[in-house]
Amino acid sequence: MFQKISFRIWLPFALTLSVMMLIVAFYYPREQEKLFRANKERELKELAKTVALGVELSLRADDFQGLKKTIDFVSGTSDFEYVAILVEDSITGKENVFISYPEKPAEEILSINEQLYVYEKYPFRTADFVGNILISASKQKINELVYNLNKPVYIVLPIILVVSLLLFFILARRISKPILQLTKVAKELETENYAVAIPLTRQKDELGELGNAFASLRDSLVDQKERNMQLTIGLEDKIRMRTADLQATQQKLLEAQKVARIGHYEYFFDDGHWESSDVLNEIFGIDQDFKKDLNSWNAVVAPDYQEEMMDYFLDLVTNKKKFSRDYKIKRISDGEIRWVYGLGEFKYSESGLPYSFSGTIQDITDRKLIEEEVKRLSLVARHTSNCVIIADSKKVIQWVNDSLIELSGYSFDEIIGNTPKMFQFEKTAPETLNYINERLRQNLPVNTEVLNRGKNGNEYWLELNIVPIMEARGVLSGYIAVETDITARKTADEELLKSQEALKKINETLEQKVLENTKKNLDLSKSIVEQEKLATIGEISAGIAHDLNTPLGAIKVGTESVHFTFETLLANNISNCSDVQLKRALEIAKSRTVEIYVGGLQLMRERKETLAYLQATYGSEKENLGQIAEMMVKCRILVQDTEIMDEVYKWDNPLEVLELINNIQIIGSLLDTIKTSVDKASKVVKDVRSFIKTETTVERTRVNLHDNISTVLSIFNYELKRNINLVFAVDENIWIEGYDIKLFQLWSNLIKNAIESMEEYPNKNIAVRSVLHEGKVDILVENTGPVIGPEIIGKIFKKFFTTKQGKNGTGLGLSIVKNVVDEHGGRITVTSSEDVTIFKVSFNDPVLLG
Amino acid sequence: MRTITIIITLLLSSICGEQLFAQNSMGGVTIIGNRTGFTSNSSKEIKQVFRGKYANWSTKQQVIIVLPASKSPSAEIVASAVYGNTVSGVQKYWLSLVFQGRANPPVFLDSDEEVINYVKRTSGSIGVITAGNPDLPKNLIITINN
Repeated sequence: MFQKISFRIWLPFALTLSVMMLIVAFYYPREQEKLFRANKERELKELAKTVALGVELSLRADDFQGLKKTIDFVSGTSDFEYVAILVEDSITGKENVFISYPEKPAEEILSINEQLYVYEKYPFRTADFVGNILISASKQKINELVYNLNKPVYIVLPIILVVSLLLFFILARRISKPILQLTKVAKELETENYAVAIPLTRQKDELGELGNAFASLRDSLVDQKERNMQLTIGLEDKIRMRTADLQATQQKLLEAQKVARIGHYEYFFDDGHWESSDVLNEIFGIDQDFKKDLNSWNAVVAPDYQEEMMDYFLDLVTNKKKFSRDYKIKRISDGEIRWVYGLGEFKYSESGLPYSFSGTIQDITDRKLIEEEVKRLSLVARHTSNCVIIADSKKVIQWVNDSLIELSGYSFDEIIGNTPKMFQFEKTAPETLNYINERLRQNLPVNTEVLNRGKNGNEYWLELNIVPIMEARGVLSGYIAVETDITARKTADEELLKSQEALKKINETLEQKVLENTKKNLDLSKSIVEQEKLATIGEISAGIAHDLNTPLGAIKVGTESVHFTFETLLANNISNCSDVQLKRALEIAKSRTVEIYVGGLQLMRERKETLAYLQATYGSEKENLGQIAEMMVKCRILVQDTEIMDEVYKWDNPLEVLELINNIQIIGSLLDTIKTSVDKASKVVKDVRSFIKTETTVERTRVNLHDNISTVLSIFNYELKRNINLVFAVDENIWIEGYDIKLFQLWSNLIKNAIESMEEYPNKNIAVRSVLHEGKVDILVENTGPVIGPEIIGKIFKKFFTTKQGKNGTGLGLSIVKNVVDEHGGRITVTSSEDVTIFKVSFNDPVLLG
Repeated sequence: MRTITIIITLLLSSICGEQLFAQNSMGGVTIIGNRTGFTSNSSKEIKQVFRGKYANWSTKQQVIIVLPASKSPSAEIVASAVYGNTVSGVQKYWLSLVFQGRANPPVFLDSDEEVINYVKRTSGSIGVITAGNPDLPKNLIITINN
């Protein structure tokens, strides 16, 4: 009901009218009452005044008739309550009631009750009578009058409201009725029920016109429907034809795409999948079952393009650009790298975010290959030392390369548009030109020599190769000429001819001159060899001195160590042992070769085994069991020598005896080392002598790396033992083909450098390790000395480069190392950090012999 | 003036001495009337009439009281003779009666002649004038019985 139009027409008016009525009902009675009460007050005042005048008149003029009329008039008013004459007592000054009408008690009159009455006073005065007229009206009666006054309003207004609302409701219904009817008609027309009756009206107003318009509209719709039917039938026929054409076109397009190798794709960002056409599947080498997601899309892109394509794609997303570029893909089916040209663009949602990316991909591998070939050919043509000319079928030059421009002296623009005749001049052989023209006329290649002239008048000979360019239909499209500057050859030929004559003349004395020159050359050659040898000797003399210095240093260090150990022996060990123990210690020391530089891990393992044996055999009866075990290991009294272990352990002072044995062993070992160093020094001297005599006695033999390095370590034993923590972990079974003495120099230099580099460091560590690889062994010489900076690492193997100026550095140690390594076909590298500096020496083809 | 009036009054009293029990004047004033309806003509009754006790005569005719105006020379003597009060007191008396509607107001005239003429013309009227008026018709005089 509330949606009906009649209600919606009626409602605003009803609301407006109701509000207006409420306003009137509220304000009008109040205004009436206010006005009425004001009039009443005024009237009461006038009545009091009239009565006062009546009193004055009656007393002055004896006109009591007037007073009577006045009283009658006053008492005749509807709300009159009483009227009184008040006079003032001349003695007390109080007012007294002289007379009242109707008669009331004086107290009631004097005590004015304003809740019940309304009063007005008016004074009067005669010669001997002064007072006030007091007139009173009943408030209740006034209220009744007010009510009666507004009563019509309270009754009439609701009646007017109800009647108005009713009337307007009827009016609204009357207005809406034709609208509703027309709405119904419109709905019927919407359902194409054109037979619906349209209520026509004779009214000349808008509704009448609307009805008539509906009727016209219905008629138009009927006509239009008929026309639409005809049009639809025609359109359906056209659509059928167009559909057939479209299908044919689509088929052709697909075939064209297939031929052009253009495939279509669309990538969807919401779930990361992509779709592709059959052609694209073929380009990518994938089938229908291929999983199409982001990973597989990236997998299609060639590996060397993936990162670049990702950056490119991110740039597109950021800047909302279109995708357009060549790149490589790796075909899934066979892994072949193919060139493709991709076109694509984003599709954006209403919120501005891309929801898909679609486009085409064309396989352009063949074109790319041709382009690359063209590019290569173009480069060849442009940069070849030969001159290249491309001309059209009329021999008008279209393009030349830089070589021709340089040779001819003409600029590119000066040449283009001319014919090759511009280079010909009077010396150009006419028969050659005829030959060229004749061959070209027959579309045959030309190969000849021709003399041309440049812009600056320079003449030059060219070996000319002209190839006619024929199109597929056999039509000549132009020429390519490749010209080689043979001026020098031509000149040389001329010079050769001239020389031939001169040669003939000197031929006779040639043999004698050759003999003389040969003798001179031989003398010169011998002199050069000697000079080179001396220079070389001078150059390596510093190295020889260094090589001698190393064993001499070892002898010096070894002697000092023997001295130190011997003093210890005399001062402590011998005096703490008995004669029997001394004798036995010498026997044990003699039977065992001590290795001063036993590797830390090996020592720990052997110490653990020895301790375990002692604990198992003797329990913990001696407190220094650990020290005894450690010294036994140092003296090489190991678990397999249980008899000696038991013998030593059972002595009262096993530690002193073991220390004695160890020191004797060390002295023996040091003496061996000194002897070895003396041998090495002798060998160096011998080698120098051999070098100077141009003969060598250095033999290439199989060298055990462990023993070779051990010898070096023993030379430096004194310093190593004193304050350096040494780890020696080189496999004893590794052999290489090499020169023993040179390898000795190699390790000597590396170990010596390591010790010297850590002189000022409190924690000194050196490790020598072997690492075996397939067909290769690495020897790592490590130290915890200072970092070798990258600016130095590249120079340290250079001759005479040293970081020890002012000390004993010659700058030859590491250059000798490098030479020795090279001589053994090996390789040396250096890495250096805050923690450790490692010299890695690699030898090929090591042999493992147990 | 007052002395003259007293003397005249004394003279009139000596002249009319024979009518001591049926007299035409009362305290120096003569009561006149036209078709009045007294029952006893006593001075008491007359005074009651003048005091507005009766609205109508016994004949149902309205009682019309005619008095000298307060400014009339005879006002004071009439006030004294009839009402035993001053002129002002008579006025206030009638003021209170008329105010309360208890009596018809009297007709006040400026002279005895006007009073006589009025009474002569008006049936049911009763007036008072100073005694001894020569122009007073005999038929208007109301004899007072003590």
